[in-house]
This record gives sequence, structure tokens and C-alpha cells, in this order.
Amino acid sequence: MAIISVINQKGGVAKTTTSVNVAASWAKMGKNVLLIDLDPQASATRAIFGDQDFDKTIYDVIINRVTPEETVVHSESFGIDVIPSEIMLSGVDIQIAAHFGRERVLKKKLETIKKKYDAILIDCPPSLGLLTINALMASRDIVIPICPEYFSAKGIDLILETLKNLQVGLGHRVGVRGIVITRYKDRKIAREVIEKIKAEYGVRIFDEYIPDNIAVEEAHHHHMPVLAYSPESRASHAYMNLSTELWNGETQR
Amino acid sequence: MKNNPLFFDSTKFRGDNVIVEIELSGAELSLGESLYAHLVLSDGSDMSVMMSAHGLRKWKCEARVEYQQRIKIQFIVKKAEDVVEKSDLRVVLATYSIQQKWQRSPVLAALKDLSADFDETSEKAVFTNENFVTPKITNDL
Repeated sequence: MAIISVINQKGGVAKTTTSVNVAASWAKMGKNVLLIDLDPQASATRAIFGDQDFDKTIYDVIINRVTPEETVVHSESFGIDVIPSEIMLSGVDIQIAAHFGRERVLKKKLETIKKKYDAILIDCPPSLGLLTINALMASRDIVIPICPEYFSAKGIDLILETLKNLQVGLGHRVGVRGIVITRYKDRKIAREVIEKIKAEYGVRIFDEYIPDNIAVEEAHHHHMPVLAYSPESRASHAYMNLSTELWNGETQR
Repeated sequence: MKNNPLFFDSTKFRGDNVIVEIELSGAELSLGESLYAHLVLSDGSDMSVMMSAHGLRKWKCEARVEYQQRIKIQFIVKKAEDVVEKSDLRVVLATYSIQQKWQRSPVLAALKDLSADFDETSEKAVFTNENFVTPKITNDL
């Protein structure tokens, strides 16, 4: 059983796209997958369910109103279980800030439900706060999606620094499963950034780059994973290969 | 030293006993030598814990200390009972993981660089903790 957070404090790096498509690809591979949308913007929830509203969300789980099991919604098109998010989650940091064990709320909540799944993916918010700390404390590994552009390396620095602080201050060591290159265009600047990251960080970059492909956006619009919406597209093949690579990385540990 | 409250364990009070992992990198030992982490706690009590190899020039040990208290730490290389080398003495915040890089005691390094023929009494004077000027220990975080 793996709990993996998809994290990058920088927005617009395809965190949600990576989360929902990797989850769907794993489901296609026969795995039992739970996706937790921990972003108050609820992008993953909307990508999967459209404008559907949910009475019970991850917010209710964190403030101890319901159990995680009560919030799980199954998505037929993605083949996964989802714990949806809502905008109320944006204030939860303040609500739990004074709680004893505030950084381990999610970890404790997942204790029982995690036994039902082969993998749990957490789509993190694009910021560092108690929500992200909760995701990291609940996770064994992280995956870092980045768009290969000028500021990408700085983002990796911040994430690695956060992991170090987590180990030092909270005694929890999180592994970096690898970096996913998203929205890849075969241009000199993108190649240079990737080479720089390879040279400067001892972090694995997954072999499969996710191309900047319109099929991904269209799939979101139709609330489908790209492998179902456009199975022959380059993005679909890329996500399937990436998901296999990511899964094998887990089993080889 | 800045401390981000996001990374403090809310289930522990300052001064609670916790087991911390101490990591030292960059220390190279010769055959027959052992490495110790020498800790001086906020109440003045001290302890020495033997470190074990943990990768290339990396060393690790665990110690029970008081969470979020400032402690003094010094790494000591010994051969049998003799002190071969010491690191500088540092003041650190006791968190779950204390990660340090090896740096020889500047006093000892200067003496060795000068190839000084210091005798047993002068060596003791150099190695005594009280001779080191360290930042004042306070409970402020």
C-alpha cells in the first residue's frame, strides 16, 4: 500500500492533471485506487465530477464531522474512488491550528480506510500550510510535477527544504519518488532546465515526459481521463507509461 | 535561528523527553577509531553516545533529549580511551533529527597546523569544554 502526495508549491504545473490521470491509469492496470483532493480549489473534484456538489468532503473528515468512508464517491469514468474537496477547506488550517496533533489529522483518519486500497494519491494544494503538512505526514513518498521552465528548479529547492524540515521538526522522513516533467515541448530551454535538474539534484526524473497536448485539456472538459477520452493521443500513452514507471518504482523499493 | 511553527510537533511540549536521531557527515575515521556524540543538556548534565557508520563518511546515533531545548553538541574521535580529535562545540535545538557536518575544533586545528608539540597538560586544557566560547543558552525559541 502506497500513499503518495503529488506536490509542488508552485501552481499551474499540472498537479491535478497528473493526479487524476495517474490514478485512472493505475485503475486501468487493475489497481484499487483512492484519490484525495486536498486542494480547496477542488480542481481534481471538478475534473472528475464537473460542477457536482458534495455534502461530505475531505473538509468534514478533517474537522472530525464524518469518517473518510462516508465521503468516498466512486467515479465510473476514472475507475477510482475519490474523496472530494470544497472551498471550505481553505479555512481549515485556522480551525485545526490549535489542535493537539494538528499535523497528523489526515494520517490518523486514513488508518482504517487505507487497508481497502492498493494506492492512495493525494492532490495537494499549491501552498505550504497545515494542509500540505498533513498530506506529507500521511504520505510515504511524494511525486513532484514540474513544467520545465526557468523557475522550476527553485520550486524543487523549496520542496526538498520542506521535506528536510519535516524530518527535523516532526520526525517523519518522506521519500521523493521522482519528478514528472509535464507540459513538455521539445525546445532548447526545456531541455536545458531538465539537464540542470538532473545535474543539481539527486532526484529521479521519470523517463516519460508528459507532452503539452490539447487532448489533456479536452479530457478535463469532458470529465474523463485522457486514456479514455483520447486513447491514441501522445498524452494518453505518456500517462500510461509514466504510471507504469511510477508503480514499478513503488514495488522495487 | 528562525523556526517555522509548522514544523513543531504539537503533541510534544518543550522539554518533553524524545528520542532524536543525530547525523554527522564528513567525518573520516582511521582503523581502530570510534566516533562519539557528546551532548550537554540544558540542565548541565552530559552524555556520550557512540555513533555508527551510515554510508560514506556519514555517522548516526540516537539519544534521548528534551524536545526543543537548546543543547550543546560536540563530536569526539577516540582511539581506545584516547581522544584523537574533536569537532567544534555547537549549540543546537533538540528536534527529531539533528544533522551536522564535521568541522574540526578550530583551536585544535590551529594547534595541529602549527605542529605544536603540546604535552598532556596543554592538550587537556584545549579539550576541556569550559575553554570554548559558546553562545549563551536561553530558552527563547
